[in-house]
Order: sequence, then C-alpha cells, then structure tokens
Amino acid sequence: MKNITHRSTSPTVEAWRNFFKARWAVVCLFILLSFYAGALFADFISPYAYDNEDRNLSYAPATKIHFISKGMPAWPYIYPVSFTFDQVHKRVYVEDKTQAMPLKFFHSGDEYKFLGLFKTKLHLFGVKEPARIYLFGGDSRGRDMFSRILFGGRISLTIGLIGVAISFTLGLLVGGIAGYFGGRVDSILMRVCEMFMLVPGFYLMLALRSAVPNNFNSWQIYFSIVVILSFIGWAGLARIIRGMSISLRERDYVLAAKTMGLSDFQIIVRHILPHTVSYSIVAIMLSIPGYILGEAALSLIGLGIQDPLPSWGNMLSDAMAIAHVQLHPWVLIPGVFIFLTVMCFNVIGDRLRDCLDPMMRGEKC
Amino acid sequence: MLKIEKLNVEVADRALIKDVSFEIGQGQISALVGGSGSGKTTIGLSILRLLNPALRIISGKVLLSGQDLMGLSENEMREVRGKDIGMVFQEPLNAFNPLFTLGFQIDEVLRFHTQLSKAVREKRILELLDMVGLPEPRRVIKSYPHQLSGGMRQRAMIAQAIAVRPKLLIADEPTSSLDVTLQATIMELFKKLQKDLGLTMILITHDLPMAQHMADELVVLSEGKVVEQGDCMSVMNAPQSEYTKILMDCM
Repeated sequence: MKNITHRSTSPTVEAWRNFFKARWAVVCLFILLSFYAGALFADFISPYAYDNEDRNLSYAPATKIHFISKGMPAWPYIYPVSFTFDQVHKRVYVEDKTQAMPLKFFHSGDEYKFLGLFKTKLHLFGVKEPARIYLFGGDSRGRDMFSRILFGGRISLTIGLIGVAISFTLGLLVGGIAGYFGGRVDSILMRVCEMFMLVPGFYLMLALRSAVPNNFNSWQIYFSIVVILSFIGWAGLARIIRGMSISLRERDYVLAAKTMGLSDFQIIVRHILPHTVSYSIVAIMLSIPGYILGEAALSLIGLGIQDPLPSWGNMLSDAMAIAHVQLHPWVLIPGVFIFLTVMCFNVIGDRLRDCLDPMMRGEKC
Repeated sequence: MLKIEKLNVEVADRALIKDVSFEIGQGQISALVGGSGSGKTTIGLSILRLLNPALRIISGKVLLSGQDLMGLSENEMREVRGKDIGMVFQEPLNAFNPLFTLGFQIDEVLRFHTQLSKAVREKRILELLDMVGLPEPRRVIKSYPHQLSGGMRQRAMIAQAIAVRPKLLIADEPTSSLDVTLQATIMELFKKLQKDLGLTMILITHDLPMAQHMADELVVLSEGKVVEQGDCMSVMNAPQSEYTKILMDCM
C-alpha cells in the first residue's frame, strides 16, 4: 500500500523531456519560435509598413550600415541612396556621402495598432527620411523586403497552423467515427475519403480555387486558401486514425466506459482519440510544411494572397523571372525563409516521432 | 430485484446461451459459476446489452425492478448503465484508460449521471475511495492507473462502479488477476459493501470455493445452459447435476 509514486508523470511528459535532449531539434524549435515572434510583432520590429513604398528605390540593394566615421568607431549610421543609370540602362544606386543619418532605436515611423490594442508609431529601429534602411534590399516597387517578410510570415506561418487545425479536427473525427462504429458507416466514410485522395492534390487545389469568387478581398482569399488546403489534407489522416480506432475500440477501458453509460461520442473523444495523440502530434508537425508550400505554390502562380498584402509565396513570384534573380538575387530571400521553416518543422516532427513512438524509444531517446 | 427469463443468445446461428432464467433478490449475492466458455460473461454483458455486435440476443427478458431492459431505447439504456447497474472487470489495469488519472475516470461516472458540482463530486470521490479501503485518497485521485498496485487498482475500480450507488453490481471475475491473499481482502470488501449499502450483486466466477464463501444463491452454468441453481448451501451439500459434482471435485 506504499507504492504510490510521488510524482504523477504521464508517459507524454516523459517524451517531452526527452525531446529537449536533441540539440538540432532545439535549434529548430528556437528558429521557428523566433519566426513566429517576428510575425506576431511584425509592426514593431519592421521599420516600415508592408505597403510603404518608394518607387525611387525599386530593387535597391540592402542598405550598407557604417560603423566607422573618419577612422573612428561611431554610432551606426547610413547614407541616403539615389540611382543613376549605367551604360546598359541598369539602375545603379549610389550613396549620398554628405548626409550621414544615424540609426535610431525606438524610432517613430508609420502608425500601426500594436497587437490590435492601441495605436502607436514606435518601431524597434529606423532612420530619418530621406534615408531609408532596407536590411534585405527593396522589391520591384521599392518596398522594404525585411518588413514584408515579417508581415508575410503572418500569412505563411499561420496558414499551416489553421489549416492543420481544421483538417485534423475533421480527420480525427471522421477516422474515429468510422473506426469505432465500423460496418456501413465505416464503408461510406472511407469511400468519401478515397474520393478526395484519388484526385492529385495540386489539381484539386486549383479546381477548388477556381470555385472561389474573384471579387474576394485578401482576407477572404486567405481563409478560402486555408479551407482548400485543409480539404486536401484530412482524408489520409482519417484513414490512419480509422485503423487505430478499430484496434482501440476493442480495449477493455472502452467496454468499461460503455458500462458506465457514456455516449459513443464521449467514448470516441475521451477514450479513443487521446490514444492517437502521439501519432497525431508527429503527423501534424510533418504536415504543416505541406500547407506552407501549398500557399506558396498558389501565391506564386498568382492565385493566392494578392499584392500589396505580402506572403512569402507571392513575394517569391518576383523570382520567377531568371533576369531578376541574376540582377537582384535578394528576391530569393522569401524562399530561404520558406526553406528554413519547412526544414525546422520536419526536423522537429522527426524528433517527436523518435520520442513518442514506443518502437523507437530506447534507441535515440 | 433482477429477473432473467428465458434468455437466448446466438452467434452466427449457433446458440451460446440457451433459455437461461434466474432471479436475484434485493441485497443478495448470486454467483454465476462455470468453466471457460460456459457463457458467464455473455450473460453479464447481455444484462447491460453490451454484447459484441456479432452476438445477438434472440429472445428473453431482463427485468430490473420490474422494468424490461430489452425494451428500452439505446438512450434510456445508457441511463441504466452506470446508474442502475455497475460493472467490475477482471483486469483493472486494462479497464482503466492509461492516459487519465483515476480521479478523472471515477469522476466521469458522476459527471454523466449526476448534476453535482465539481467540489461535491470531488468530496464524493474521496468518500468512495475511503469506503473501498484505499489509503491516502487525495493521492490516489491524482495517480495514473500504472502507478498503483493491482489490488489498489481493483479497489479504485470498485469505487468507480459503485460511485452512483447502482442497484446492481456485476463483478466479472473480480479477483482472478490478484494473488490469493488479495482475493480474500477484495471479497471481504464486497461483503462489507453488500452489508453497508444493501448492494445486490452478480458474482461471475469459475472459483467454486469463493462462490460458496460469498454467495447466497448459486447458478451453475455449462455450455450456455443452467445445469443447477438454488440456495448456496443446499447446492453445495447435495449437488444434483454431474457437472456440479465435477466442479466440486476440483476444489
């Protein structure tokens, strides 16, 4: 009677502890968290609003920040730039060395509503006009790529989360119901799943997109894209969850729950689906990149988020012409962010699988 | 209190339970005794109408306080389960969901069948755990099933089964997974609950000595048929059927 352990640790808590033993996964988690923080505080961190443009700075290269003035270390400053044309009529930007503009922290710039709460003009850093600070360079309309990447993250990084939330709710419920009840319910639900699975994903995406009215504004398009992407993702998950719940429904505790008078829905939600959690968490992590890439693909071909609202996908559409990549390679930077995000999700998902899958436990964890 | 009349269950046209009838009076313990495959558990689950879908109840009545359970809708039946009839399983480790604490799982019955507030329910759970003889109920509430010993888990499951004070408790081989000394203490617990709460109980077991020790009535089953039934003492002293004699020889 004395063998109750003092700590109440569930198996999942143990797995989470193990997760942090892998350095790579922690690095990736850190990168992702900083991306999400960047997107959340985009208004504050970015020096300009996403639609603040200066046509004179079209494809301006990244601003040089100077740390040395007259041979002495100095507070960082920049020069305003203006362009001339060279012999092949290409824009060349030159610094106006007569005006040194110091970099200012907590600079007052474009007005915005901080987290939708109160209006402020405060930005993390900035510089007085006429100089403009473009950390990653400018895009075709002379907007700051750095600011736009932060704002674009709001779309590109959340589309995966919302999409996964929708498709996993759908997949878990449909799979759980199909597996738990079996019989005709199971057959019908699974045939529906197969109908979704047998159309190649990208074409289904295009077909559904063409069903969305053209006069939608950007946010309506954003949500229709989320819905379209989650429509593609749920079927495969539902099939796997169905298989798991077929075996779970035979467990004694499911029978025990029935003898207590719980309803079928309560049993599915409380006694069947929680047992698929370790699989689901991994599947969620590994499927988020699909949504990010899906949004990027739609936006890249102009069917996704519309300019001026930035997403990493539509920013990357600038890089579709090889000439742009040659002349101003920084148009590829959104691609680097997509790559890093997708990679981080995959590394974390892989690591979670190592920790949560009992077959793998003891080997790497 | 509970009356079963001519219960017939079949699987794929083969009869599993043949014309089983018996009766249990209020506050009595009735033991269903028989070897493996004699249909003891099937009868237990038939009362709750929770048979595997492959098994079908062909005919028969299950009258609980005069009400025929076979005639109830599925929703009405859910009200009966847990509230009027509680069930204790053989292997408490499997019968508890490993992902939730015991407190949560005992609370589930109370949440579903009563309108009590959270604080009242928690007090009730602590009382229940105390009643079944678990020390340090507060710690048990926060424990996961794997953190308790087999005997403690079985006590916790009994607490769960009697949480809403059901009229009838079905105990399906409640001690088979426990060692001999624990078996005795769990049996004492059932006796105590029968006395304190006036619990009516069906004890499903293959263990004739235990049935003899516990039960007021004996129902001996073989291959889905009642081969002998009656007052515990008279059956044990003067067994009529061959099968009962064989069982007694095994003692």
